[in-house]
Amino acid sequence: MRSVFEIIVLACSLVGLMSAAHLATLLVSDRVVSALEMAKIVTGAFAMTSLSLILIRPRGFFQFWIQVETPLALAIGAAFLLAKYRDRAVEESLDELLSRLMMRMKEGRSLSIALELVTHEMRSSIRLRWIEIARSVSFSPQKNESSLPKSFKLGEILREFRRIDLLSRSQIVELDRWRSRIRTERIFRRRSVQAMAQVRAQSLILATIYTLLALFSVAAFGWNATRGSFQISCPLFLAGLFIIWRGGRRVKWSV
Amino acid sequence: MVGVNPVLRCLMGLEESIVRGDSVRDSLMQWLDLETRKAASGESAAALDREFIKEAMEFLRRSEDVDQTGHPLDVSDLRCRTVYRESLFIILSDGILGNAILPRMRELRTEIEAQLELDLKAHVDSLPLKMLVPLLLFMFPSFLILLLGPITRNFVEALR
Repeated sequence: MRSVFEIIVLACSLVGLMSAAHLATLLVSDRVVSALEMAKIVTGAFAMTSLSLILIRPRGFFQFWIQVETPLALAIGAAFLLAKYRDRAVEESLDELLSRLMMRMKEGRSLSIALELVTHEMRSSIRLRWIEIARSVSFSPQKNESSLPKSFKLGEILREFRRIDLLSRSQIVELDRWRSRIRTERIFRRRSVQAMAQVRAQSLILATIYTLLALFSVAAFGWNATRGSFQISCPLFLAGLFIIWRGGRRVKWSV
Repeated sequence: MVGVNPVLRCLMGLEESIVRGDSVRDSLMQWLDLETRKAASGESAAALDREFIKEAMEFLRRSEDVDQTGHPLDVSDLRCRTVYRESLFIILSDGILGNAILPRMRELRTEIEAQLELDLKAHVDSLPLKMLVPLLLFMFPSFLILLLGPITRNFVEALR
């Protein structure tokens, strides 16, 4: 019975591994993460797995399964986090890209040529993504919904570039208007984040102090003496932390 | 709130569309369509956004009568939460009738930006006082319990 259960778990793990491999391939084919970066992530995961198996001998099937699956799951999670971070970095670099694009166009270049030039000048972590967008704007034979990036905001950026590309005149004026809107949004977003940033920084410092204090208590008095206090103080501290984080977010807007 | 206020976002979006030559109603429909697609794509909308979008959709629905009657819409029926939203819908209602509204929209945008700045400043100024309550009632006692708990326990055991 137990071996049947183990076989089922193994089969599910294999399906999970195949899905993870497929997702990793999609990330590379969408040029969100480069093949080299994906290879580094997977190599790191395998290195962690090997190291954990050498240092900690698994005593049973489940311990072995956890030691093998956890680094791989973490690797795929890391790849997706990297993709999300990249998408956000692309959105935030739009202002800079538009400024450079307008300067290139004022030199006498067309939108598509200027965009191609400017995307190659962007920093390496987001260059691939911008190059993909630039190529979708001008060289994509099928300018339809299926060639849009999966992220909503990147899709909107691409749509806007395509709309401006199709204009016969006033392209620079439209780009300037778009840039002005992006800047206003960014200013207000940054102010909102800054309002919360100070509160969050203070709460993180308090959390660090609490953790160090807890470690000190355990080291000085032993776990048995500290356990009771910890069971009361930890939920109390976490409740305070939660209220600070949630309360700091709620701005009363009069608009 | 990390995003931009929906009223300001709407104003900026409508301004752009109207400058491009779209009609007021088409501009508003495009903006609402964008917001709906944003929500459908999984980008979470704050309660404030949903509330404003509902008001805008109601305005759009009622504005169909404006063209037919030729009279501006009675915005008080919409029961807008703030006077800025009411002003926006009054301006849009005039725009549907064919009047020039861009200068008024720009003035309203300046007013809204100034008010949002004030709201943010008020929020930042109130934060130290608001944070004092969880600090005193939750975090400070938790530190005391963690520090004094083992000492008190050892003391009581020594007394026994």
